[in-house]
Amino acid sequence: MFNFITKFAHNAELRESKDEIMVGEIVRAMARRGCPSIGFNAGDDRQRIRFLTHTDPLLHSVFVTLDRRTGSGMVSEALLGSKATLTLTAEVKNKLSDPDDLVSMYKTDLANLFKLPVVGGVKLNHELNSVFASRTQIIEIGHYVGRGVEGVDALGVFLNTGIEELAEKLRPYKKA
Amino acid sequence: MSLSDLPAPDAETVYVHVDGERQGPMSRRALYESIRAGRLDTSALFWLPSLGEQWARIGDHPDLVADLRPAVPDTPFETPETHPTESLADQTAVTSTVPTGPRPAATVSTEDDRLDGIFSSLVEQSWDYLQEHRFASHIDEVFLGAVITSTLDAGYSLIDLSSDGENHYLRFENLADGSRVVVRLRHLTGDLAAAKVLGQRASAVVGYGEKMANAGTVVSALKAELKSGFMGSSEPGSIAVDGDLTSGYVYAQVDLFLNIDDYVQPDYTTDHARLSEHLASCVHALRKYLRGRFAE
Repeated sequence: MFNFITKFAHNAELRESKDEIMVGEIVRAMARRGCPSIGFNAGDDRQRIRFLTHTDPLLHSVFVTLDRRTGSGMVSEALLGSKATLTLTAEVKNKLSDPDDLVSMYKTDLANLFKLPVVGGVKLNHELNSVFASRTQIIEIGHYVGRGVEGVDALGVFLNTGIEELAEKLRPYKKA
Repeated sequence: MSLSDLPAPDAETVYVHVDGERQGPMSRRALYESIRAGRLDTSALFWLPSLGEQWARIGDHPDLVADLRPAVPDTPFETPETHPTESLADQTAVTSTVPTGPRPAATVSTEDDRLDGIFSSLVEQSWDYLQEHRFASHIDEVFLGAVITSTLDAGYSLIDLSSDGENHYLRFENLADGSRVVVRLRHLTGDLAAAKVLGQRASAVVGYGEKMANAGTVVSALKAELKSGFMGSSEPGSIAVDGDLTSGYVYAQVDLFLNIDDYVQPDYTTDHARLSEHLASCVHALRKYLRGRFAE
């Protein structure tokens, strides 16, 4: 009944929890931006959180996906640091969509089929009333975690800059 | 169509819906001035308390501003040829006096605008309904995020996050002193009907743990946990003890029922300060209990 302690993975060392620490800081940074979390999808090495950007006149939501690549072991952390891929996805939602929109966006989807996922590049996609833009970057978790206020502030700037960039890509797809 | 219970001319109780955006509250006088100045079209939708849950087209309710008009008509609002305040019944009456030929363009446009307005309001209303359902279903994740933010603000770092589809599990560690806080959350009113009747309720277990240098203390905690297992069901305020041999931590935990509405408003505004204070009070009580029982 009470033994929910067994639900945790019991990471032996703090380095194994760096991505969770980063996720916590991302949640707090987005809360400070006025964006509450509305979805958590947590796996062993991949965490995906969705935030509602309800105060933003353009964006509907933002997804942040953190995928741990290196550093969960002592040797790999010493050699490579704690590298992860962080994918920011911004969503614009239109309250009305029609077949012309779908045909127009289908061309984008088709182009995306042949587009290799280049790190740092912005990719557009759509589903029904939503248009998404996403960008994946390789980051060093240590730049943001374990550095106190400096790291937290750097994370806030990183997220804000990334979200603003995606918002600009999506602006043409937002209907009045 | 006439309106009942019109508010006073300067009472700010009127909302308008223009280009997908809600504006207001404004007074009827301000609304009239906006129409006169051409800033607001009479095809726009408006709402005031006597309309209940409905929005209506300004042009369908000439009595909305009738008492504010000057004695002599001075704006297109009152001009019969392009009378945008005509209701559908009024338009039928006007067109029936035209013996032959197509309808006047202005009338067709007005009718077109009116139906467009109704369609827009239907779509808008549908999104509002959907949003209501979505809010009821994902408020537990909003609350989960609020717990994370409040606990981080108290000096802890998130070190574990998992979910089994029914419960969310969080574990935090104060990296300076090694103490830990664990939280289990279960949303009890996940559908809209339950949430509307009961409010947004959650079952929570909050725990506080410290690493014990003496393995015997952990074993003792595990024995206490075994006793806790004989308790039939969890009730608020019953403190249980749990131990983790792997990490050497011993936890004191308490069951609570929380009203999420106390912390998260329907517009997603979150009272982090209140939540932080409530979590801090739990940690304080559990820390005292744990140290009193397992003082080394």
